[in-house]
Amino acid sequence: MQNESDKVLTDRIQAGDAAAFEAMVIQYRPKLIASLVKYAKSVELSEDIAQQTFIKVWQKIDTFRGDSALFTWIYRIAINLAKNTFNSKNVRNDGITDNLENIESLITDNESPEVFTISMSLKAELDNFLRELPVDLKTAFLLREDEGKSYEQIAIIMDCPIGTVRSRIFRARELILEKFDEIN
Amino acid sequence: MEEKKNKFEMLSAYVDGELNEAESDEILEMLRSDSELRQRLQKYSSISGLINLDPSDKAEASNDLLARIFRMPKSYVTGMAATILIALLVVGNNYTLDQTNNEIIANAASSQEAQDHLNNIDGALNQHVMKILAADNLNVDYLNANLVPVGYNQDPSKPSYFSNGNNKFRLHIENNDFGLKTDRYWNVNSELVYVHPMRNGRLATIYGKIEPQEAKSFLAYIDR
Repeated sequence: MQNESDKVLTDRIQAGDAAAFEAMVIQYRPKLIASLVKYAKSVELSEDIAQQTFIKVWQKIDTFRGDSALFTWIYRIAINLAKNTFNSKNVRNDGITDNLENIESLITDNESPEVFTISMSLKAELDNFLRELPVDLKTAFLLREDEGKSYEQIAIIMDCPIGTVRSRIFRARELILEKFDEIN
Repeated sequence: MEEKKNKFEMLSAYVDGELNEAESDEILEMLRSDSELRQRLQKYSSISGLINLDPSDKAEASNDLLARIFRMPKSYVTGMAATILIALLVVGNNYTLDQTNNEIIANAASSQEAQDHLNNIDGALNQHVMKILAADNLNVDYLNANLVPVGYNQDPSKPSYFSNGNNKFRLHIENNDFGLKTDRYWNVNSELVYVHPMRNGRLATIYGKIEPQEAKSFLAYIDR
């Protein structure tokens, strides 16, 4: 099921709010590209598929009923487009299409693509940043980003108020951004 | 300073889907006009993108990939929004026909000039185009059937659909409330959107598989 934020977002987009659509693209594009890279084997192709996906999302948004998370729905569209792209490029024999079919079977209404594991190589770089974070921030952040826990669940696990969870995750993000800014 | 921090914290919770309906509305309203907030959204989302990379991406796990996933655009313009907005910009500045390609769009998207122009772009027209892309039923009530160019078939069950073998597109005609004075067109993947201000005060829009020159000729014919 979609959360309240996604419901507000999709309501606005369905009403023709282009600014809301743009906010959705900004929010979900990086995650979509990251999810597609493995199967497309190309960043450029992943970016192309992501762009086609969002055009399709805009065209089909009226059909989204909120039965699944918004990103799950977007991801399904992307996978279908990717399959068509690969089929048209006659790359079926390299196993990519099979991978996509396997992926599709993994996605259920209650399960988002976060089920896929994290890149060990890139995670190493991110881990370097995370290692320097205070343990409370790191824990809250990873429970959210890595394990997909809600703030309420994290509050129970960490035995602290939900407001504290929200603040810790925010501070973790800000510190990670500071580190990225340093290396950039 | 504190206000900005609170705003960013609220955005962080929005990314996690942890805001209620009223708060989500508030954030989306702020995103509409706050470019700094949009950039922050891009950054928070990029972190999620990194987290979602897969271990088998080692072959691609270069600094280049890292940079591209985590790329901070100079503006909030990304994806489809960039395609549409920048293409409007490119055509609006009288580039030649063959310049509305992805390379130009990509280059334009990252230029300061593009950012400056985008700040002034006609949002109403942009929304109009996006609606055309999404709509199933377009309006051709203003079109006199006798004015359909010879060689084109108009689908009797879907009057906004036209084809002639090589070209297949939809036509939409409405009042020109956008103040558009000159033709504009752009590509969305392999399809064309062509907007033409008619002499009778209407705005005609073509969307489909057709070349710009052919679209121009078709619209010139019905605008006689």
